[in-house]
Formats: sequence, C-alpha cells, structure tokens
Amino acid sequence: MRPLEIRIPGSFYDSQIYSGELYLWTTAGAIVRVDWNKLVDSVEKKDQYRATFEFAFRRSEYLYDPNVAILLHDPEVRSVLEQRFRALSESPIEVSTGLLESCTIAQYDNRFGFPHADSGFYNGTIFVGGRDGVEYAWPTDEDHAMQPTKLTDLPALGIALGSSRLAIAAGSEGVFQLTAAPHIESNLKMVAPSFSNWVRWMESALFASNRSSAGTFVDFKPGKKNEDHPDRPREKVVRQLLPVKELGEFHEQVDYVWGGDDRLCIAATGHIDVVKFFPRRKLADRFKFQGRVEVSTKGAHHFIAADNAVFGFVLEHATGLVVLTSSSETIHLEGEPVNWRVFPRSKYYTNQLHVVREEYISVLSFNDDFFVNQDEKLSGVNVNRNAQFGKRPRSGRPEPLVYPTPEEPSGSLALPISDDDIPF
Amino acid sequence: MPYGSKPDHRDNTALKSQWVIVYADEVSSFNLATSQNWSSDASTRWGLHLNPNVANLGQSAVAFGIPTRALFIAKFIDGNANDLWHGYPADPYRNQQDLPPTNVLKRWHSESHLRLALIRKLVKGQLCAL
Repeated sequence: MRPLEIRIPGSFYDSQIYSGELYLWTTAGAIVRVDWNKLVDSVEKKDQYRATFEFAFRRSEYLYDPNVAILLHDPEVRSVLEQRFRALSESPIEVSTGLLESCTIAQYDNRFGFPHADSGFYNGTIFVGGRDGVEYAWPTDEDHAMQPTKLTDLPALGIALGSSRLAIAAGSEGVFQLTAAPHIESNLKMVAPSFSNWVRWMESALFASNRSSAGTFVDFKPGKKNEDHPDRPREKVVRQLLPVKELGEFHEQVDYVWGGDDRLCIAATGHIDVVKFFPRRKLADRFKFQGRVEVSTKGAHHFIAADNAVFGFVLEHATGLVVLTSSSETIHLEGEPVNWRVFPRSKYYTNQLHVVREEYISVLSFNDDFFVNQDEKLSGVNVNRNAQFGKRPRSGRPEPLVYPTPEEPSGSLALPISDDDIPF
Repeated sequence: MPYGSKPDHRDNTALKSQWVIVYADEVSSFNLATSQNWSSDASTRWGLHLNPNVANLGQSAVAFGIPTRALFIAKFIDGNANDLWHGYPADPYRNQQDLPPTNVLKRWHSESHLRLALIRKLVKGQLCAL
C-alpha cells in the first residue's frame, strides 16, 4: 500500500514533529512552528475519511491499542480500513501557503548553527547538533524568541535522545552521552572511542554506527548515587562495548550496519539480516537472529544512511530512498532527498516519514503495520507502547477523537452499521 | 599572496589526496576562495573548482580504501602565518577538519554552488558526490 502524503510547499532543510506541532527549518533562516493538529483538521476531506485521516497523521497509536485490535483484525473492518487508506493515498494532499500561515503558531529566527547535522525533541526541549557543537532551546509562543544555549562544543554528526539521555556521534572524537531529563546536566562523558556519525537508543543501551560495516553496541549499568542530588536517578555508566562483528560469524562481506530500538540490521549483498534485541534478558541472550530480508539489489547496497521505523526499514541510496515495509513491500521514493527522518520513539507519529525535497516537504504516512503481527514482523521495530510525553506543559497535544453520536443525523456513525459507517 | 602547490598531492603519495585538475586550475581555485572570502579564519580558506559549475578537483588517498572517492572541495592553508599558501583536495568524509565552516557552506548553497542535499551529507559525515 502506498503511503498517504501531505505535501507542504517551501524551501526547507529539516523537520520535527512533537506534541501536536510541526517544526520546519527553512533555508531562509527561520524555524516555523506549525499547529499540526489544526492543519490536519483543516485539510478538506470527505466525512467518511475523517477517522482514517486522524490515524494516518495525528494518532498513529490508536490502531495499536489492544482494545481496538480485535475489531481491527475482523476481516470486514480491516478491508474497509485498507480501502480507505488506499483511497487517500492516490494523490498527495497539497497544503496551500495560506493554510500553512493560518496554522503557524510562531516563526523564530534560526539561531542554532545552520546547516546543522541533526535535531531532536525530548521532554519539551529541542536539541540541534552540528559542526560547532550541540545546542538546546525551549520553544516559546512568541515570535523570534527561541534562544539556544550551547551544551557542548563537541562536533555532532548525529544525535539521539532517549532513556533520559542525549547521545552524540562526534565523528573521530567518539561517542558521548549526557543527562537530558529530568534536567539537562553538564555531565558529558565518552562512552565509546570509535568513530561514529550515527547513534540510536536501543531501550537504555546505545548503538553507534561508523557508517559502514562496523558498529558498536554500548550497554550501560547504573553508576554511583549522585551525592549532591541524591533524589536524582543514578547516572548510567558503560558496562560493556560489543562490536557488531562479535555478535556472530559473518560469512559474507558486510556492507553496512545500523540499529535502533529493538533491531540491529546487518546488510550484505542481496539481503539484510535482522537481529532482535531483548533488553530484559541476560547479556549473553540479548541478541537473537530474527530472519533475513531479501533485497532486490544484485550488487553491494552503497548506503548513504539507514534507519529503523515502526513501519519498516528506510534505506537511503545515492538516487533516493527505499522503504522495506513490515508488510514485505518495497516502496521506492525516487530522487535524492534534501533530508529525511522517522519517529519510531514518538507516541503519535510512529507511522510518519518526513522527506524534505528541494521545493517541498512530504509528510508520508505508512499504515500497513497496523495489520502486521508485531511479534512476528521482520522489517521495522516493534511499536513502543510506553511512549510518554515529558512533564513540561504543552498546549498542542492532540485532543481525544470525538465521534459523532447516533443522535446526530449528519454523523457518519448512524446505526445500523454499514460499510461507510465503520469508524476508521 | 604567494601560492605554491605541495608535490605530495600531485605525485601519487598513497597517504595524500591527489589533485585531478591542472596546477593553473588549482591556483584559480585559491584565487576564487580569496576573492570570495570563503574562509574560516586568517589562515584557512575553502575553494571550489568552477567549470563553469562546480566540478571535481581531486581524489581521495588510495591508502584509505579502494575505490577512491572523487573530491570537490579544496582546503588552503597559510600554515606559518607568513602569507605563503598551499592547498590540497579536502576529504571531509575521512577527516572532520576538512569540513568547511557553516558560514562557507551556507554561502555555497545560497550562491547555488552546492545543493542542500549534498551539504546535509557533508555535515553528517555521509558519502556524497557531485
């Protein structure tokens, strides 16, 4: 099934979506903060597609709810839902400049370093890393008023936020971490000395890739109690560094390795071996070969980058992106992207892939994974049902869906239930 | 300001990146970097080879992997701060010190020399080509 697409025209460099708000870095030196919920609500759509639209763009977690699963796996319900996702994916939904402006909450001067290497949201704070270090800021409701604070001068080629920490891939300087929540602390520490340009959290462990055939898994344990702040959680210190090559005997030339959440991926010519990570098991039993994803390429992969999403694996090659979905489809998104990112650790947007192109940004929504058995799937990480927002008060979180009641004659849920009335 | 080529970037020294453009073009690249003020500080300038669009100017050192990669950024240094400059094809994939500063990258994009996707790959330390 093709992804649904919301297309926003403009010249952008990067994007983030967090807590009902979309952040767009423009090439003109601004960060535009958009009320994503309002924008999705404002897009014209037929009544019967309203709920499908919600699942696709605002509330990806709804369809993973175990209470909904029994209904979702009913063949008739599933058929209707798939039909509607298909119908909405037939052509991109274009957002006009006027609509974007009417949904814009604030526009900030971009005072972060630009062009940056990576960005991320955590606990209501935005982090941006690049050649000159890592900075953070809290978005405010006033235009122009987002002043970054420098966290470190360490060069960042990639960053990752998770497990209350910020991880920094600092190239040849190594891999570093510091505490990012509940308070941002200045306890920057090296956790691996090897070259890395890419990091991802795997529960409370970390995977650092060297952008080719080598990568290191970093396992942590609780350190000593902080005597100055005994109420704070104990800092995590390195327990073990495990190079990927020690995970098994590889009989082929490995082209590229990456990992994140509960999957490590090892790509060789023609296939990707998937290793599942079980964080609660004993160290020796934490990695289990899950299976092999066949890839149509005859030669080496020639990766630029790759990442794990809930809906599948996203691979970047010189000529574009390839999505290997959890439903075993291969979707090609041709053309070199300016930038792209996925949100596997978010609560509401695990089905989204943002692809920045020269003249627009595509917010793509992949929805096959709702129908895939999470315990058996190969491509893509398991959905994180424990995703939580930070405690910082936020205004833009999605409101719960309110369906029209049967008493409302214009509603789409009038009884008896027919094909058009199923709320998906 | 005198500019001189260093021989080890033209004699196939395995540990050094190699120019693939003629010496006159190397000097033109330095002069362009100077006139455009594509610099990080008083002793470092960053060059491109315009022909008329940006073209490759070097290849990566063979000692660090075959096949080699085409290089398109030049780094010029006045190492002893005595206005005697030399340069070499920069390899930011291999060496972070070979990545131009953000002010230069921003100008190369706004002046349409480099596309934004290429700049993103450079700052992330990813493989990239013109």
